[in-house]
Amino acid sequence: MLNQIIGRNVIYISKTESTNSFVKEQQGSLPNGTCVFAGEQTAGRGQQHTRWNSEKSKNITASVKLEPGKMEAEQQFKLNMSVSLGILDYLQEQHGIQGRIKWPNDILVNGRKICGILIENTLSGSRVQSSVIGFGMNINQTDFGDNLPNATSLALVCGRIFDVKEELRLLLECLDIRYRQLLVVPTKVLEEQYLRNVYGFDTLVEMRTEGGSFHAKITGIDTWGRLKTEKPDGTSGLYDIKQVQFVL
Amino acid sequence: MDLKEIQDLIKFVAKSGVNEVELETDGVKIVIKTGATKIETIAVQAPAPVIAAAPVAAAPAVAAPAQAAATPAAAPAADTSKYVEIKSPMVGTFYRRPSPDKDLFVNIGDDIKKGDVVCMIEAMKLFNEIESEINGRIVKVLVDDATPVEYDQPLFLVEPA
Repeated sequence: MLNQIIGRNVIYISKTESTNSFVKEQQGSLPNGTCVFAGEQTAGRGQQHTRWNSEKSKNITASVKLEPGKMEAEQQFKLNMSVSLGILDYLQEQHGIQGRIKWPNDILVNGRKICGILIENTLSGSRVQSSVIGFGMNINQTDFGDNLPNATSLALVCGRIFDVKEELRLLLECLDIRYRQLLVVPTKVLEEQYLRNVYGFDTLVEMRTEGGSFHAKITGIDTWGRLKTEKPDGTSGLYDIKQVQFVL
Repeated sequence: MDLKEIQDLIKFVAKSGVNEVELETDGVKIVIKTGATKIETIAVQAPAPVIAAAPVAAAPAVAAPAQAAATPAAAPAADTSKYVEIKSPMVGTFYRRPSPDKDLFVNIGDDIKKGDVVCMIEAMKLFNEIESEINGRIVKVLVDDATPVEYDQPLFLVEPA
């Protein structure tokens, strides 16, 4: 595609510890937008202290290296919004599936997780120098064992098997369009689109904090991506990722 | 603890006749020492989301000689002018290691160069490695590992090379 950034180069490797780590190590030699896809991750990472488990060659486990240029630290949540929306576009446009975002960046289909995102940035001062966008999209795996009862895959949702590399190509196209938008679209617009697709936006859902569980609706996010909520009695809340969980 | 509560506390201590009161609450430590006519409050911000600016403002009575008797945290005030602070570019959680089983990015006394990673800040599941913009030596780490940080909060004191 003309002017494509994300996925202009795709490198396939059979096996690595984690595609995010691989990209970070090779960063200096990889052009902006390069995607590294691994058939197998031996130490795939989810959030900082959790593992990402994926059956060999059945899913998309890939990372993209980006140099966003003039992005300030306070805009970095835009990257997260843009990637989340790109994945929803892919599900909707290619497969007619309506996904939802579980704040901040898990992608759910029918209440089950189909895709996880792990973004790692390098900042100098207040500027994002480079960014590694990792994503694990479940494609052909149909058995997630007892450890992941809340996972799903494209195969489980659609009832057939897919060509993983072709799905990667389609997914990268969707991510690319959103990324190029991100560079020019006002934050407000991106934020509105992101929020419209967030589980619990303007709808009462059950959440749990240290103080116990309660029902509240999501009303927005702040600059840093923190969650703004409102209870039925009108009291508002602002939560960091470590302070709140959803009861699905 | 708000300004009013701190003012009340100062009044209470002044009237009580005791010389020194130490109080720690919500991550803010307040020490009130009473001299002949001087009342002093020292706010030591523990790693907590509470901004400790208020107690300072509540203590206009702090006098220069009294400050010399302050806690070690405030003592090198005269020296710190040559130091440079590395500040947090965002709201998030401060980490001193890339992952729990790895070594610290930097330690006190380490020489750092421009471009060296000094810490990581996690903001809503986005992980940010923070590079130093200067060459120098780490003099002090101002925030505990795995604790929340605010935008612009000082993280390290660096003696420029």
